[in-house]
Amino acid sequence: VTRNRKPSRQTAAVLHALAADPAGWRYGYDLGRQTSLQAGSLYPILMRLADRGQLEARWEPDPPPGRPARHLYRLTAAGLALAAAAAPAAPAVLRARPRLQPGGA
Amino acid sequence: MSGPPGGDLARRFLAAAEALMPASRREWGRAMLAELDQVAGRAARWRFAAGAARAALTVPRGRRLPWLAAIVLAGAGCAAGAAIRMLAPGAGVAAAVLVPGLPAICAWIVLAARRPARQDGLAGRVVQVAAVAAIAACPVVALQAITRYPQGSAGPLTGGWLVLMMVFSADLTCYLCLVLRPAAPLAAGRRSGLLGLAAALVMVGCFLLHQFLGVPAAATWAAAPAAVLAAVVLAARYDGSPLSVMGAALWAVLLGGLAWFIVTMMTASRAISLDARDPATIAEAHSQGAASVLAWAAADDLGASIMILTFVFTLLIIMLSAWGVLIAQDIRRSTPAAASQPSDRCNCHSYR
Repeated sequence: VTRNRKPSRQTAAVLHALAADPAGWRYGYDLGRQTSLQAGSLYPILMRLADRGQLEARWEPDPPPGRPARHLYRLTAAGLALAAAAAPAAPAVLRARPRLQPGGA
Repeated sequence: MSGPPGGDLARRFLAAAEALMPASRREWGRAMLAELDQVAGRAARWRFAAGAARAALTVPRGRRLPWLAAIVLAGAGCAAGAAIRMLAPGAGVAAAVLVPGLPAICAWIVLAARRPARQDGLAGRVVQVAAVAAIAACPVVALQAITRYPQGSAGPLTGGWLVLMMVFSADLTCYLCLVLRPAAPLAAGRRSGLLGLAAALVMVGCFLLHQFLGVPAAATWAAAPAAVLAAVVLAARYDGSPLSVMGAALWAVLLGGLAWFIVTMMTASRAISLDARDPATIAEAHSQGAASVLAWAAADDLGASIMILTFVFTLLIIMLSAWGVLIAQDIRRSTPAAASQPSDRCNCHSYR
């Protein structure tokens, strides 16, 4: 039985952040800073989204020398649909934080 | 920013948590570790590591709760509770509820929280099945022995008894976790599992020799550590890997402890049922027996057996498990390419 529960505000914030640039790949620390979520809240959300096929993940293909590859995330079509449905809930938990450039912390 | 070579404390902390993740979630653990390497500042690194460790240790199950297991355990608990009320009415309602209830709830939590991992190879599976059977037998034989104990029908359980039962249930739950979902480095491999099983059989054999052929008790007590030591030495000789040695010791202590406890309970129960026919024995037990749990533990074999399994073996198992995980971490650190290199199969996918 598939549950169609409304996403939590934290999940909605993650969805909103990812949906802002549907084609771009984001990494965890960046998402955490943008949504003000700690890793302990962010990663379970990412795991659930991935379990449900709403998030795809990959390892950074060409990491700079001396730095390990990062895990990157973006929404699938199902994830984008969920993000659109959850859009009104998202801004409540989002704080204005500058978007970090990929590759930097 | 990367941490110092080999990882700072925050990274080691998160790596330890990652080692405890189920194999199906290990990729996420590596992702969190890779992300930690980008975080600058000690405080920020600790904040991230603490949060990520919490995520690692409470990973979403990704499946529905095992309702069938809940129904079976609830049925078994009710049946056991009714049996206690019939067999030992003097133990009180609290005992009839708590004695079967606590292990049943603990077992359900284990099954609900973590998917049992199937051990690799026939030897691993044999060891896993043997350990689960032994863990299931522990509360049964303990209950049988206690209900036959003369003091068992003397009155309701005291607070000390209830605390002991809770600790006993918690221990069995930990054993079940270890058996059903061991940290990957400590899974029962072919050599470590079989050596552990052999050590357990040696312990039981020595105990039976003591019980039925009159071999001195000191020899029995010496045989237990000797059997564990032999398993360790053989593992070191044939493999030499620290993890294999640690695995052999861990499984020898776990299986040996459980087997020894079951045999002790059964023989003590048998002796009690024979001796209790004598009114003087019952009177003696009442006068010096279970006035308190500690006195009971010190006074007779039954109490000592429960205490040893509950505390001594558990302490050993915790130490061996922690040691094994630390060794595994050291090995992974010494081969950074294997530890940090993402696997090819994860190049682009969604986790389903």
